[in-house]
Amino acid sequence: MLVEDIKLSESLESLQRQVRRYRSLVLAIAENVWVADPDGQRTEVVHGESVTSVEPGWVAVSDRLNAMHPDDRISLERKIVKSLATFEIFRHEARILDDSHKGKQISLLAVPVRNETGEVEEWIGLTEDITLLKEQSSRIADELEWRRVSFEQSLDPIVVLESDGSVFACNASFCRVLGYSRDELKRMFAWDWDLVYDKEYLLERLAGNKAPDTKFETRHRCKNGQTIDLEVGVFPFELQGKRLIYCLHRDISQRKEHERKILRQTELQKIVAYTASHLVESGPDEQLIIKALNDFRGKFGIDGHLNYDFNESTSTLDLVSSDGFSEESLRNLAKCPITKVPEQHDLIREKMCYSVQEFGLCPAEVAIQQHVVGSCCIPLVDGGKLIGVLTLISFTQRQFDSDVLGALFTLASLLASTKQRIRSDTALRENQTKVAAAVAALRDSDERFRQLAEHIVDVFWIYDVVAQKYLYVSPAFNLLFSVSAEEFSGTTAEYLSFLHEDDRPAFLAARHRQLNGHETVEEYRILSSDGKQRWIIDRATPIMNSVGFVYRLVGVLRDVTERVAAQDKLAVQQSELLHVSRLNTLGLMSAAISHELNQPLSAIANFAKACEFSLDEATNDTRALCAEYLRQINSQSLRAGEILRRLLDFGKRSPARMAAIDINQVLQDSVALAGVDLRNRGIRVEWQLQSGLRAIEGDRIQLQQVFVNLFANAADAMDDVAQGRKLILLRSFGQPGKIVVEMEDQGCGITNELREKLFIPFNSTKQRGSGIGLSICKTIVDAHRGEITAREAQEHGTIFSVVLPAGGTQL
Amino acid sequence: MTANPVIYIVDDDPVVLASLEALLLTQQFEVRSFSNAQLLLEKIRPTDVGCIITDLQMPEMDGIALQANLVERASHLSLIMVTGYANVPVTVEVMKRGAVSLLEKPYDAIQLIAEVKRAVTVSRQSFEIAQQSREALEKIKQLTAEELSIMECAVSGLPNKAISHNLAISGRTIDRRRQSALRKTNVNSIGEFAVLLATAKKAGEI
Repeated sequence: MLVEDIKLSESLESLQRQVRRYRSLVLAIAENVWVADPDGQRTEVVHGESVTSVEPGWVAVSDRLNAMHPDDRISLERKIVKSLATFEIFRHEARILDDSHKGKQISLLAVPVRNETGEVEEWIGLTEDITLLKEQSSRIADELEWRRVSFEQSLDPIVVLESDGSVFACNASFCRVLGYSRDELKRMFAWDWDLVYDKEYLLERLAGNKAPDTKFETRHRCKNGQTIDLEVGVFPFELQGKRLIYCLHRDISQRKEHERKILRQTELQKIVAYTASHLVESGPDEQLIIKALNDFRGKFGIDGHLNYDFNESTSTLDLVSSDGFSEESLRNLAKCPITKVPEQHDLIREKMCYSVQEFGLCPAEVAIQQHVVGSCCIPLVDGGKLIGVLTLISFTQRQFDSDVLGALFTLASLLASTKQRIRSDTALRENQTKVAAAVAALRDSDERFRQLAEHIVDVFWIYDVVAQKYLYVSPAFNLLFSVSAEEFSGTTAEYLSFLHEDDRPAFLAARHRQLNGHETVEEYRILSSDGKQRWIIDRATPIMNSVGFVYRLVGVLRDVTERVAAQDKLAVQQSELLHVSRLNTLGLMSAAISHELNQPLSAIANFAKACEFSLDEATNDTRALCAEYLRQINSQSLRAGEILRRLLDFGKRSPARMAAIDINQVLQDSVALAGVDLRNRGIRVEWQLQSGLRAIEGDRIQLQQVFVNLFANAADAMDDVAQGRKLILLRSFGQPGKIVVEMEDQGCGITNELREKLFIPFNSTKQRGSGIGLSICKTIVDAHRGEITAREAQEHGTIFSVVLPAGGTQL
Repeated sequence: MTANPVIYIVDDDPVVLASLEALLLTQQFEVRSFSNAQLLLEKIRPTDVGCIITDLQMPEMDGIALQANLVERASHLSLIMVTGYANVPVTVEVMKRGAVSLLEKPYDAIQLIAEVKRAVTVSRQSFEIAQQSREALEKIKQLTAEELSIMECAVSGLPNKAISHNLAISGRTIDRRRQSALRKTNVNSIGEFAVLLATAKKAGEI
């Protein structure tokens, strides 16, 4: 075979291969392939077009055009003309007009086919259905638009950061919140506005090196210098291979502001409590009061002066005289020279004057020599009388917010009570220290209790009634009982062996109640193997089946050792306090007491002397007389002894001893104790005591103290009432589950405002009162799970009502 | 003639009252007991002579109020105040108002009896002085206004000439009226008249 032959046959083969390839291509898309004349006037659809439903064969271009949607015809025709003129590849999209008018979209593509000489022989074209494609892309466009709008219009500030900290995009809200324009932001970095985190930290975070914390709180600085608290949600994502961080901000300034306020108030309360304890400790020492005030001012960050001034002599109250601020006092007030007193001076004077008269508050702003001075003057009021002023001068703050003012008011009342104490005797001061100590102890035990609650490990248990065994105790059992849950056999006998002997009967009684379907709360002692004693509170709940049979008990044990210890300590301190208060009462009653005691003593002396004189001339008559006199002497000695016993009881230092007592007996004893003083002050006591009342569980002496205090209070309230009209009505009566004692006086009654503060310590309206009598009554009544209230009597006067829970037995 | 002295006792404590009564009865006093001062005031008369023993502290009317009432009535009854608790201001006040004594309970019975006796004496004297003043006043009231004015001048020590000059009356008339006045009042000298006049003035305005 010739070489040319070989070459020829090779090229032929390659040609055939190419033809095969194109044929299979055309066959694959045959349906939609067409051919057109070079001048484009008609087209030959090779296998028919499925999209446009055109049959195979020649079709005029005009027909094809008419098959299109009218709106698209012109643009399509133009495109065809252009391509025919330039022989460029024709590509166009159009809608077709089909019967269903669904507006299918097609894409037309035509490529010129040239012969060896380069002339265009024909066009070969392809029609494609792009309806679905179009729909999808428009859906995507919608979606994008929707996302764009929600990004842009979101009220929450959003910024998208690049990993180098620069701004990739941000929304309008972000611009608005920070106050920068979008262009300005584009040139900024995240650390330019973040006040909390530095560049290094932020870069690490942006790079994704930090813990995957998706939410954090921070504070941003705005363009105008203000700051704003924000919560930032962080969501990293990738866009075109770039790591971006989407940061959604939420404005939490209000919440933060609130938090700060609470924090501030807490801080403030602490300061007030601190100052209070200082004042209570310091007593009348002026140096210490000033120190306490300075501490208060310093801790609360008030720049300026905080002064107090007791108006012992009128000259010291120059600062605020009864006719308001004088120029002199203004100068003192501001501690700087006055060249010109501004016009509002008169207004301030009026305001201040009014406020001082009303014992109210007077915030005033005084502009002196361009220094804007905020000042505030709070009167110190004791027993309804102005005894001085507390002044606060500030060189920077024009006004003081309500927190500061509230604290200052508290301070003022503390100061007033301090002042009052200066007048009072030492016994009273001791009392107040005791009260402060008790308050501190209470706070202390509170704190301890809180800590306990935080660290407590409760033990849960389940008891099977049928098997009479503990089915389950949680692992913490070991901590309380020093016996692991596994080692514990679960029998009641073993459990009982842990308990303190004295508490076992109560435990078994509680178990009995549980089995009868009652929930119980029992406190008992357990002895762990190391010999330590613990107090446990055991709350048990019975579980019943459908027929009401208790088949299971569940419960929780909690270690309350420390709480019980704190309670015991508090109880000791409280009984101390009550004792001191009783001694104080005894001191006040000493005049009445000596009278009380002297009555039987003088009767004894008289009878004894009468006996002696009568015996000088002993006849039968005088003998009988003497016998009578001697009987009287005996009974009067006993009477004196009884009085002494009551007094000793009352003054005794005794821990609270709860027993079943008859409230009427307590009331009679109280009348006997307080009665002479009342009689001397011309006060009658009328009583209606209901007989047959149930006993109450309580401490006789403490309850006597309540009523003696109430008697003294009622007597003081009637100081201004005319002689002969001074009357105290004492009633006792029963209510379901309760016993009520009411004491009504004919005094001036109480205002609503006073009623709220009635039982608060150191809040006396009386000149000689210590202000703790009623608060002690409340303490005692509370300890008896009772309630003490005061209300206005129907005509005039006040009714104090003490309600105590009734105990079991009928008397 | 004066009545027998009576001891009035007031105390709101019935046992103390009974014991005091028993004590005073052994001394043969006439004793009347009252549980409150108001009842006592209803019973006493201006001519009573004797003594009141009262407790200082009592409901309704107390010792101080009783004393004030007695002063107002110009009673001749002496007052002994008894108290279980005396302080200085009260003591001073009570004594200033003319109480015979103030005793603190429990008191010594002997001392009380002594005080009661003294109080009765004081009361009787007071009554007698009042009695005499009233009698003197009766006598003085018999004089004419002219006689009285001349006698007043004479008592103050003026000689007749001066009186004559002061009152523009002749010496003889003065002399006659002086004699008449001495006769009417049944006294012998101008000295005795002076005593009579002073006594009468205690009983009231002439």
